[in-house]
Amino acid sequence: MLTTRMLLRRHTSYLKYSYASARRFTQAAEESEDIITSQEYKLAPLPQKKPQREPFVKNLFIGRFDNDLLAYPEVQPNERQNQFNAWLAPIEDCINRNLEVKESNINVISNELVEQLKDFGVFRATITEEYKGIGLNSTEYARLIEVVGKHPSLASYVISRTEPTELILKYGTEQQKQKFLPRIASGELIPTLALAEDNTDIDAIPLNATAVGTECKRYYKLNAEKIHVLNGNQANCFIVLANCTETNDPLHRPDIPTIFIIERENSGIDSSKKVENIGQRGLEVYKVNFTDTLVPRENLLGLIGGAPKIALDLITLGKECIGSQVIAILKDFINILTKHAIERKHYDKQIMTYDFAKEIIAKMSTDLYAIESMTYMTTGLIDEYKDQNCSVESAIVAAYSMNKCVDQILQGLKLLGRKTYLKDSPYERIYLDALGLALYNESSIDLHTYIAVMGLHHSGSINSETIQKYRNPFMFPSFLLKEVFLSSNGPDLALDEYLHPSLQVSAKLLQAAVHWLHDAAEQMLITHGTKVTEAHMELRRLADMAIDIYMMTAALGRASRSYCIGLRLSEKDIVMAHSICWNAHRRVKKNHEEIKLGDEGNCDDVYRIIAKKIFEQHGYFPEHPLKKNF
Amino acid sequence: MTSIIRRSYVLLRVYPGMRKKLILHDLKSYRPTTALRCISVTSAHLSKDNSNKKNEGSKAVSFYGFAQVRSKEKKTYLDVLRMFVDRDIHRRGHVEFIYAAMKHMEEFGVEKDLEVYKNLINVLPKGKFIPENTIQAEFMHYPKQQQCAIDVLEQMENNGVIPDREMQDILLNIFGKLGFPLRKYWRMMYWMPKFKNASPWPLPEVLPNDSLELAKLAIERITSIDLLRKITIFQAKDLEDSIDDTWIVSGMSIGQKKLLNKHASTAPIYVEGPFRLWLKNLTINYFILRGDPVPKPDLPPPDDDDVSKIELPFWKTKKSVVPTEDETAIHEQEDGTIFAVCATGTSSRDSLLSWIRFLQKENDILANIPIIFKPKSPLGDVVLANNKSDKPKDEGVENKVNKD
Repeated sequence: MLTTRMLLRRHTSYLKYSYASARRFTQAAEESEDIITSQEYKLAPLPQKKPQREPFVKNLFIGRFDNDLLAYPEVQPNERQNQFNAWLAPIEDCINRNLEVKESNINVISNELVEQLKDFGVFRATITEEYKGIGLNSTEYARLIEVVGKHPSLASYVISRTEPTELILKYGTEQQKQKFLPRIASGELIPTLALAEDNTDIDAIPLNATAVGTECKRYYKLNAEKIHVLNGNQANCFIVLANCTETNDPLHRPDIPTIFIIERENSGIDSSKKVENIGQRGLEVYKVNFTDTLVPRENLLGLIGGAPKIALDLITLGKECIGSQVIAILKDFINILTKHAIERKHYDKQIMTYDFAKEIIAKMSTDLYAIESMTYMTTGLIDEYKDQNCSVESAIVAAYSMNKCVDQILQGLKLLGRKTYLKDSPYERIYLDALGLALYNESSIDLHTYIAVMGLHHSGSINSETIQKYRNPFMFPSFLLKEVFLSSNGPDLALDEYLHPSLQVSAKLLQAAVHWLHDAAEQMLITHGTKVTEAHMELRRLADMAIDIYMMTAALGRASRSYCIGLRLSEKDIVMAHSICWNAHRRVKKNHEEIKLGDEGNCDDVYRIIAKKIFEQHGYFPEHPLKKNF
Repeated sequence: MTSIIRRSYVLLRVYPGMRKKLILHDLKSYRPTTALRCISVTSAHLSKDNSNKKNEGSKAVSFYGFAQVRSKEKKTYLDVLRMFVDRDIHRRGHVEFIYAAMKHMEEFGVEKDLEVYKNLINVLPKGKFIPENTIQAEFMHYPKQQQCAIDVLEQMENNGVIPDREMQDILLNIFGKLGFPLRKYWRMMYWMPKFKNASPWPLPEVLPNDSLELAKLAIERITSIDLLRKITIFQAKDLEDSIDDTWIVSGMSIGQKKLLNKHASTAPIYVEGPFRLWLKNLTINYFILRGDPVPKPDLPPPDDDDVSKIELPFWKTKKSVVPTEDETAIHEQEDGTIFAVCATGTSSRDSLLSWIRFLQKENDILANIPIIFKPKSPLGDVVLANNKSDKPKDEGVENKVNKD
């Protein structure tokens, strides 16, 4: 009975789709050919993935460096790359044309544009060929997002539609994949994530949504109110997080967080409430209410109670794309800034002749270089090795690129001066886009914690015995004596042997940094034991160290590769890599020193005292400087 | 030399009755010591000019004059001081007069008034007591007078009156910068402003006269330990069958609400009090709603040394070993769990009953829990102001469901 109904439903939805396409065909006859070709677009198959390696950044925390990864990854075979570029070119054209027409176009995502992208196959790009997608790998997808990212909100829109797909691909059953993915590929289903809830009240429990099993054992009855649903009005397939229970006992609150896939045709979904957002104009955010929505049992994603694991994965899943988005925004901005510096005067000279302009532009460019290197190194790792664990790497790319994008644009605005203050300038939009990107995604505070905790978790699981001895030195006197008299500064990692000789100095800097990270991680475990996850100020420092080291590795690998194969202007790549390494090395050194000094020496305790007082006083407490006491 | 001249200029600035021209002239022609002597003489002459006629034959007036004053207020107090100063040139017996005046301060209600203290110290003659060399300074020049000034300052300190800079000028004119009262003054000026703001629960300088306002301050202070505190004021007359018409200041935080909702409905909870809280020199009686202490699960202490499986701090699951400290923990004390505190206008049993019924509106669970009124307090039994006399004074169970 159910199956026949399902078949019928699927059938009708196909009908709907064919009607839609028919309508489109009649509108523009010359476009139809393109569409047909793109529907059948196929890329050359990817090479077999290499066997899994040990996680790269996690291993840095125990002082192990995978030298092979200094060779910057090259994933696409030439044939596939050519095909991919041919596929990408019209998309780039389309977006450029759209932006050329009017500057205000960038503030909206028109239906027309979305239709065009759909015809190019952008929304089915990440779905594997098995389910009628194109099957781009991570590197190609990141490149796609970079191209689309010229229109920043459009890139976020594309990601909001592909992110749920990745979840289904990773956690869905074969049946679920067959059911949803082809329809998503065809554009019939527009998926989106509906996870966040308004739990700002102190009374609120983290998750209010409930899903209760019905008596007929075929459905769950879902009640939820979700905020921050991107594209919520247009979407017709929601991935919802709710507490799940089998019994309908009113006394027991369901408390097993579980994830469901819900189609709009299930009744009781109201998504009419739009929320205004800053930045990323054109990307629409909605509040979605589910009241007594019946969800078929087979739409449960993962296991019952599997949500924590999936949610943890979602912190980093596909987050390296934020790097691509930032690349697009920063690149545009640097080009605007360069034009300004050449053409405008400050007092009596061109802006470009001043040192301050050189500093700002150069710093911004090296940051962009670092972000580019890290993004494509991460996607390369994901694509090159089978089931490679790259969650920390993705988190690093996301955290660093989001922070730097906002910072650097603010610096650039200072150079542009007073004209950025005017309302009709594009700069406000650029800044708010960057800000919106940083605020909408997982907060960089959480990402920093994630990076450091994952590293420490790895380090703890391997070094636990040593740490135990360090924490109880008098139980292990011989160990202690050995450590005191026979400790070394870490082995020579011979990094320069894997790089172009002109990068030798920087390789030494990287090696020192790796040893410091290892030392700092060990020190933190020794000081805090299992409570290390609560020492957030030190976790932030440790995460910064890991970010810097990953950045150095990526930049060195990329510069070395460009120079060796002789890319245009690659001698300046070397200079950039040097400057990145030198600065990152200094930062790592500083963070390492601060961790070594401990809470008393590095001012952390003072901050804790001040913050405690401020909370006690419910706000800023010092008296006004003009206040008299007698 | 220069210091003495400077001192004289200070005199010029401060001492009001001095004829300036004369002194400037004197300063030029005399040696410093003579100049100083001259000043004190001059001042004496001046006062004589003003008051000679008025005080003629008033020697019969009692030396201390305070007892005879009818309306005891600041104005009359200052009048007595002025009478003494104006009576004769020599101000004979000024030390005794000052001690007597100090004794009468509370009577006149001026013991916290800085201006009065300044007038009191001003009674001492200027210039005469300033030591002229180190030996004099070290061996307490004019010890009786210095001790007297120190005692005045001591009384100020005990009453929490912070002196000001004018006080310093007055003292400098009387005892010079080496005088012991000055050292006392400087010590006071170091410490007193600090102690003034040392309390973590600052109160207004003058406490409000209204007992409701006081009760608000008191409950605010008691609940300040929980940053999520919420203080509500109920009017008992809003309830249908309340006897007392009074206010109830109730403090209950979100954490306490949660604890109350977790409380097992079979175990009774108690209304206890009154307890006493001091606000400066006033007291407020307050009551608490307390439950029996909840035994904490006796978990073995977590092994901080074993870092092989660090718990990820993202999604807390029920399996997590370390119990999370939340906003409720602070109310679970060793001698019981405290759910709420209140102060009422009458502190009567009826007002407490009204309090419980107000709380019940927000916490339904209270309807099912037996509530015991315990007149247990360091102050003795609860005084039942408006209660019927036939009600037993000892513990009585009052189940709220029956009452409603």
